[in-house]
Amino acid sequence: MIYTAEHVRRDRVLQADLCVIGSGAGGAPVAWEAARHGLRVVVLEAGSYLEPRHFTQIEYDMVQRLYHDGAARTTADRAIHVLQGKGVGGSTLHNLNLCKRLPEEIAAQWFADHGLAPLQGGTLPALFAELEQLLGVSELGPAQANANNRVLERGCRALGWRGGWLRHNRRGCVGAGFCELGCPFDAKQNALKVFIAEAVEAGALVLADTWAERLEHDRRRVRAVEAAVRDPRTGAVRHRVRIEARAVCAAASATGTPALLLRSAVPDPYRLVGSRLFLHPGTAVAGIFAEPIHGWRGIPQSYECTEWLDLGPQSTRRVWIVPSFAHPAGAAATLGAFGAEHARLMRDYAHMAALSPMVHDLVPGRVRPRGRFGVAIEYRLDPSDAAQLRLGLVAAARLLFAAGARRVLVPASPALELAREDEIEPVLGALSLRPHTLDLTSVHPMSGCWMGDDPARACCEATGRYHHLDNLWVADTSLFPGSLGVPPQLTTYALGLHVGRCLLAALG
Amino acid sequence: MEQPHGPQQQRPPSSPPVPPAAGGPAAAAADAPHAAPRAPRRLSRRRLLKLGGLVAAAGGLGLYRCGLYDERLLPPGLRVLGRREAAIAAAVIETVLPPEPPPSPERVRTLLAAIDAYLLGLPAEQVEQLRWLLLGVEHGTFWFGARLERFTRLGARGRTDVLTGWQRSRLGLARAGLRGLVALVFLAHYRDAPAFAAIGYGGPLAPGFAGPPASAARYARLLAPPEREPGW
Ligand SMILES: Cc1cc2nc3c(=O)[nH]c(=O)nc-3n(C[C@H](O)[C@H](O)[C@H](O)COP(=O)(O)OP(=O)(O)OC[C@H]3O[C@@H](n4cnc5c(N)ncnc54)[C@H](O)[C@@H]3O)c2cc1C
Ligand code: SF4
Repeated sequence: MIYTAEHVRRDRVLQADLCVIGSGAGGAPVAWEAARHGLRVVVLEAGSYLEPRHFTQIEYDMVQRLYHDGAARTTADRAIHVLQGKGVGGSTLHNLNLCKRLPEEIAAQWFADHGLAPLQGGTLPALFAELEQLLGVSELGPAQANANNRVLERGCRALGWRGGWLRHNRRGCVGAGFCELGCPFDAKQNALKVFIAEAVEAGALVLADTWAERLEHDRRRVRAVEAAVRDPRTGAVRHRVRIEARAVCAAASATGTPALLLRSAVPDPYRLVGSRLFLHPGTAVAGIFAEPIHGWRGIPQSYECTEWLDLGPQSTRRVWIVPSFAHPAGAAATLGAFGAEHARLMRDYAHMAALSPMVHDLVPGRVRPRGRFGVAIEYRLDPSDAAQLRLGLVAAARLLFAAGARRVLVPASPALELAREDEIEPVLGALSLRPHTLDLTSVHPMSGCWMGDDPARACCEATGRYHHLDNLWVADTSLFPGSLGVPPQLTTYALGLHVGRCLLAALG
Repeated sequence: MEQPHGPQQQRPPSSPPVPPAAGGPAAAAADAPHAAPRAPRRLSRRRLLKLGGLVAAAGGLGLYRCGLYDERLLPPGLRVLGRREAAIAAAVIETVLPPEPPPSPERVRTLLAAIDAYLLGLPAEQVEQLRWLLLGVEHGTFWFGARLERFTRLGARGRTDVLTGWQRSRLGLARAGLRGLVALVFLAHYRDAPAFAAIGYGGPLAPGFAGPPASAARYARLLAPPEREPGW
C-alpha cells in the first residue's frame, strides 16, 4: 500500500528485504522486480502521492507539488535552473515522455572507458525492447504534431537539416498539452502507473512524503536507512522512520543519490561520489508567427532536429533541438520581462513557437549535500559547452525564421529581439554567455555516482552495487558514466531493471 | 543546516537593523554616566537643543527609509512574509504586472497571499534569500535607479526604472534576482481566467476533471485506508 504523511502518527521501525530510496525511472523498476518476486520491499519517496485527480492543469498548483524546491532549484551560482521531479513516480510524473535508447556511440565510449561487461553484447538492446513493450513506446507522426512541432519540422525541411519524429510512452493521450504539470487523463505510461502500482499490488510498501536522511553503516554494510516524514506543505518534520533492510538501493536521482551518500559519509576512498554531474544545459528561443500557434495545446515534443548533434568522440556538434513551449507563467519567467514590456511580449503569446537547444555537455560540475535534505549543485558552463550553446541559439533562430517567424526572441536580460535573419549572426555572435546572461535550464541531471569496473575510477559496479559497501546499490541517472546527449528516462528505466535483477540474484 | 520550515521557522528571526532613532544608542551614549571620566560637563541648553535636533533628524530619516509602511495592500494571515517584506513585495507586484488595466488592491492582495503560501513550501534558505532580495530592491534604489527614495515610496515610473536597473545590471546575481521575482509574481498571476484571457491562453482543457474513472479507482485502491499505519 501507499502511505502518506497523514498515515504516519508516530516514529516507526520497519524491517524489509529491500529499501528503495526514490520512486522515479530508476527506483520504480527495482521495486517492481523485487516485489513481484516475493521480496518485502519498502520504497521511500520524498514527494507526495499524486493521482490524476490532483493534476489541476494550473502551473501555480502543480509546480510546487511536482518539482523539488518548488522548481526554484538552481546551481549554486544561481545561473542554471535545475528542474527535478518529486512524487511517487519521480520525474516521470511530469516529464514529456520522449523515449530514446542509449545512443550506440555513447555506449561504446562507456564500455571503452569503464568496461561494464554485464551491460555489453545483447543486454541493453534486450532491456530496451522489454521496456518499450512495458511502457507502450511508439513513434509519433505528423498526425499528432501540434503547430509548435510543425514549425520545427518545417524549419528543418526548409534548411535541409536532419530531423525526425520522436518515440513516446503514452496511451490514450488526448493532446491536452499539460504533460509537464502531470497528466489528468492518465495517458502517461509513467513509473507510477507501470511499475509502482504493480509493485504495490504485489505487496510493496511505499512511504510518500518520506525523505531518506542518512544511511547507517559500519563501513562494510548498510544497517539501516534513517528517514524523516515531512509535512508536504511546510516541510516540517513530523516523525522519524527507520528501515532495517538486507539491501538498500539508492535511486534518489543524480543529485539526490550522491548527496545522500555524502551526507552518510559512506566509504569513498577516491573521493568520487558527487564529483561529476552533467546537466544538458539548455535555453529557449521563441519565434512570433503571423498565424496562431497555440503552442500550449497538443503533445509538447514530437519532433527533433539532430542536424547539430553528433555524439561521437571529439564531436564539434553537440546540440539537440526540440520544441519547448511553456504555459504562461513559465513563458513569462523565461522571457524575464515585466510591466509594459511583459504585456507587449505576451500579446503575441498565442502566436509564439519556442525551440530549445540543449547541450551534450562534456565538462561536469559536482553535487554536495546541503543541510538535512537539500542538494548543492556546483556547475559552471565551460567555454567549450558555452560555444555549443551559442551554436544552438543560432541554429534555433535560423530554424524559426526558415519556418516563417516574423520575429525571434532570445531570453537574455533583457530579452533580445531579432527582426531579420541577417541579424542572427551579429547579435547572437556578440551575446555574452557569462553566467546570468541567458535564462538556462537543466532537466537532465546525470552521473554523480557512476558505474565502472575500476573502484579507483568509478563508484559502482556494472551491476549497480556500490564498490565500497556490500549491500548498497544505486539505480538512477547517477549511474551514467557521462552525459548521454539524449533524453535519459529510457536508459534510466533500463538500468533500473538491470540493477533490480542483479540485486534479486544477489539476495537469493 | 537547513531547518524544517514550519510557520515558526519561516517568520523573520528579527527585524533588520533600524538606524538610531530618538532614545536609541546615540542618545544613550550622550548621557551615559561613564562616558566622561572627568567632572561631568553640563550640557548647555543650546547644545541640548542641537543634539535633540540631530537625533530627531536621524530618527526621521530612519523612519522615512525603514519605517511607516503602507499596509493597506496586505492580506491577513501571512505566514512567511513579515509586514515590511510583504509591503515591498506588494510594490514589486504592482510594478511587475501589466500596467493596463492597473492591478486593483484586491488583485495585489490575492497575489501576495498566493506568493506567501508558495514560499511556505520552499527550503528556508531560499526564503531567506528572497527576504534579502526584497530588502535590496527596497533600499538599492540609488544603485539600481539613481533614486534617493526607497522603492515603496517611488511612483510607478521610478519603480519601473529601478527594476529595469536590476534587469540590466552588470551584477549577474542582480539580474538573476530580478528574474526570480518576476517568475514568482507571474506564477501567482497566471492562474485564473481573467489573466489567461488577457493573453489569449485557453487555460485548463478540462477544469476540475478528476481523471478517467477506471484509473481513479485503481489509484484509490493503492492508497492505504486512513486509519491504517505502515507495516506488514
Ligand atoms: C520537465 C522535464 C521533462 C523531462 N522530459 C523527459 C523526456 O521527455 N524524456 C526523457 O527521457 N527524460 C525526460 N526528463 C528527464 C527524466 O524524467 C529523468 O532523467 C528521469 O526521470 C530520472 O530518473 P531518476 O530515477 O534518476 O530520478 P527521478 O525520476 O527524478 O526520481 C528520483 C526520485 O527520488 C526522490 N528523492 C530524492 N531525494 C530523496 C530522498 N532523500 N529520500 C527519498 N526520496 C528522494 C525524488 O523525489 C524523486 O521522486 C524530463 C525531466 C524534466 C524535469
Ligand atoms: S498531452 Fe497527453 S500525456 Fe500530456 S497531459 Fe495531455 S493527455 Fe496527458
